[in-house]
Amino acid sequence: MHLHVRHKRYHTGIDRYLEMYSNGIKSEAYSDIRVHRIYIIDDRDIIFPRIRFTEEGTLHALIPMVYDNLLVSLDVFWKRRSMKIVVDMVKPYLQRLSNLVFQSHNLYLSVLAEELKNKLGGKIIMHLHCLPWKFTYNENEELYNKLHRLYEAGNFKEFNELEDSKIDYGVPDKIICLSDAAKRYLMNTKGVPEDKIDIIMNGLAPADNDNPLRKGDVKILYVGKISKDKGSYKMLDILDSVCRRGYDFEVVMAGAVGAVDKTRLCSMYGRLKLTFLNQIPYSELAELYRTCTLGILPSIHEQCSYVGIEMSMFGVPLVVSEVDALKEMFKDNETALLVPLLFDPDLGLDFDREIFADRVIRLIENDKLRRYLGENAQKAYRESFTLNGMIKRTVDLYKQIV
Amino acid sequence: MLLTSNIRAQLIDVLLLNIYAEKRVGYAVGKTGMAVTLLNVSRKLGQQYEYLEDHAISVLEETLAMEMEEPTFMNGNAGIGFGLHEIITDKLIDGDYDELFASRHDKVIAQIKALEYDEKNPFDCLDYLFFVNAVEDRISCEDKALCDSVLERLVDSHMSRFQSEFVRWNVRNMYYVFAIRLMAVINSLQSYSNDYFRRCRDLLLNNEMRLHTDDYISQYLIYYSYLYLTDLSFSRNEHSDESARLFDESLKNIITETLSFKEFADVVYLSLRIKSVTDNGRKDLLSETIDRVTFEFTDDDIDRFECKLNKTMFASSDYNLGIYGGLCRLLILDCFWDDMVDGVFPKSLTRLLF
Repeated sequence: MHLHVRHKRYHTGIDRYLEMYSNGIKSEAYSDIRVHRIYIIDDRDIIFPRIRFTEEGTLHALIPMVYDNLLVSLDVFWKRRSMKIVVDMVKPYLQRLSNLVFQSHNLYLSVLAEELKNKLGGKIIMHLHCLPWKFTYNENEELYNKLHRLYEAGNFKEFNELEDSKIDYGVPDKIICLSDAAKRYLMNTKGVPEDKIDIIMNGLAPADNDNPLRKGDVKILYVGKISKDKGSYKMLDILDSVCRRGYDFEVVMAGAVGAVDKTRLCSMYGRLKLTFLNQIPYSELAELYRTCTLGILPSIHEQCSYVGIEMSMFGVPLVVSEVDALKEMFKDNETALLVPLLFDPDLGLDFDREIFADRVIRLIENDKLRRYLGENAQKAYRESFTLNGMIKRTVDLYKQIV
Repeated sequence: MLLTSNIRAQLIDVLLLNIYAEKRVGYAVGKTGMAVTLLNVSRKLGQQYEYLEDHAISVLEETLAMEMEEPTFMNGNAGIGFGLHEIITDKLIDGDYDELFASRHDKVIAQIKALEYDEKNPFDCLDYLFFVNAVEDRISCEDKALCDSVLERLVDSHMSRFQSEFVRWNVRNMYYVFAIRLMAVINSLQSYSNDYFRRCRDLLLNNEMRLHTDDYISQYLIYYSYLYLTDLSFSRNEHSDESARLFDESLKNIITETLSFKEFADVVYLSLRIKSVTDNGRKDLLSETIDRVTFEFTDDDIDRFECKLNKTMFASSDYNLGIYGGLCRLLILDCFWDDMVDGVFPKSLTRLLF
C-alpha cells in the first residue's frame, strides 16, 4: 500500500520512483504482491475523493489534500484527527486484505500510516527519499548553515533540538533510505537502530542507450529544476568563468524554470550559449543524453538522483558535486569527476570553484577521459541501479517483515 | 431533497476531510459552523449519518478548549456562542450554555457595550445586533437594552453617513452590502414585530427609491430579493409595489452561469422564502427561477458537479467551506429542503443561514 502526496504543479523523484516501481512489479516473479495506492492529491481542482478497485483487484484511493494544511502541518493532534477521516474512508475496502505493508513515501503521511496500522494491522515501511533538514537550504539558508555546522561537528543533540523535526521514527517497522549518508543521519541524530534501516538505491529500467553520438560542438547538459539547492545558479557562474577562459560550448538546461528567472539568467550570462528547454518528454531527453558531450550534477544536497542514474545509463561523462548520496553513487576519476564543496560558517556551502572549472575543462578537452568515465558509469548502472535490483530488494524486505 | 444521495455523501466527505484541518474556529467560516452543519445533517437525514454527531461534538469540544479572544461574530466568540446556543436550544446536543460559555459570553457583551463608531467597519454592529437578539434569553434585560441602544445608534450613524454620500460609488457599494446584511439580520431573526426593525425597513425602502430615482442599480442580485422579502414581512408600505417590481426585474436578469456559489444558495433560499409569503401572481416566476437555478445542483455526476463547484465556490483563492458562503450552506439547504419547498421556515433554519 503506497502512501504518497502527488502534486499537480510538479513531478517529483518520488513520482518517478512509483512509476518505475509499478512497471517493475508487474513481473511474473511478483505475482503474489498486490500493489494498492492511497494518494493525497495536491490539486485544487480535485474536490471529491475517488476510491475504487481496479480490474486487477487493487485499491486506488485519490484523496484531495485539505484546503488549508497549515494547521495539520504544524500540529500532530489535528493531523491525526484529519488522517483518521482518510482511514475511515478506505477501511471498508481494505478489511479483507492480509499481510498489509504500508509504505509511506512522504513524511507528511507518517501519521496516516500509523493510523492505518492501528485500524487494520500490518506493517509500516517509512521510505525516506530525502533528508528533511536539507530542504531548509532554499527557505532559510541561515538555519541550514547552523544545522550543517552542528551535524558536521557531531553535535547531534543540539542538531536535533534545532531541527525540531516532529517525525516519530520509532513508529515504522522498517525504514528504507537511499544512501549510507541517510542511514547515518537516522542512526546518529534519531537513534534509529541499524537493523531497522535498509539502504535500497533507486533503479531504472534499461533504455536504448546504444551508439551515443558525442561528437561535434561541445554541449553541456543539465537536467532538473533550476533552483538554489540543485546548484544550478552556482554552476552557471562557474561555466561563465570557463567560457571567459576561451572555451566555446552550449549549455542546455532541461528543467522547470520560471519565465522571469529565465530572462534574468540570459541577461546575467550573456556570454554563455544558454538553451532552456523546460520539462521535455522522455524521448527528447534521451536524445540529449545520447548526444551531449558531458553532463553536470551540481546539487547542494541529493539522495539517489534519478538524473544521475539516467546519465550513467546513457554513458554520459559527468561532473558531480561530492555530496550526500552522490559521492556514494560515483567514484572520482572512475565513474565521474567529483567536485568538493567547501563550508564557510558565515557564507555557507559553495563549490571549490577552481576545481569545478578544472573538471569541466578536463572533460571538454579529453575525449578519451569522457569515453572512459561514460563506459564505467554504464557498468556501474548495470551493477547497482537497475530496476530489477531495486524491486527485488524491496520485495525481499516486504517478505522479511510480514 | 435538493442533492442526490451520492453528491450529498461526497460533500459530507469533503467537509469531514477538512474540518479538523480548518484553523478558523468561528461560526461563519470556521469549525463551529461546520460542526453545527454536521449536527443538523445528522439529525435531519437519518440513521446513516449518525456518526457525524460524534465528529461534530469532538470538534466543538476542541474549539471550546482553545483560547479565543476575538469577540466578533464572523470569526470569534459571538459566532461560537451563537452556534452553541442554537444547537443546545434545538436539542441537537445536551449542554448548558452558561456552564460552557458564560465567561466568554460576558466578554462579548462587554465588548458590545463599549463598541464605538468606526466608519471603515459598518458590519460588526449588524452582526452583534443579530447576536444579542438571537441569544436574548441569555442576556439580562438591562444588558439587552444597553446593547440594543449602542448597536441601534451605530446602525443609525452608518445609515446617515451612507445617505449623505450616495453620490460616491464606493459608499453606494458599501451601502448595498450593509443593507443586505441588515435585511439578513431582520429576516433571519424573523423579528417582524420589532419597531426598530420596522423603522429600518421603511428607511431601506426610502433609500432604494432615492437610489432608483437617481438611476443607481445594485450589482448584488440578492439585494432586491432581500428588499422584497423584508417589505413583504411587515405591513404594506407606500413603496411596496415598487419593491415588488424591482424584485421581478432582478429575477428575470439572473444568468445562472455568472452566479457565485453564495449567490446560488441565496437566490434559491430567498426565492423559496418569498414564495411562501407572496401572492399567487408571483409564484410561477419564482418556481421557474428556483427550477432554473437548482438544476445545477441536481446533477448526480461527480465530475460535472466538481467542475461546477470549481467555477463557483472554489473559484476564489479564499475558498470557503463554511456556512457563510460555502459548502455548509449547501448542506443546510439540502437538510431543510423539503420544509422549504412546503413553505416552512422555522427560526431554527433562518437563523442558521444568517
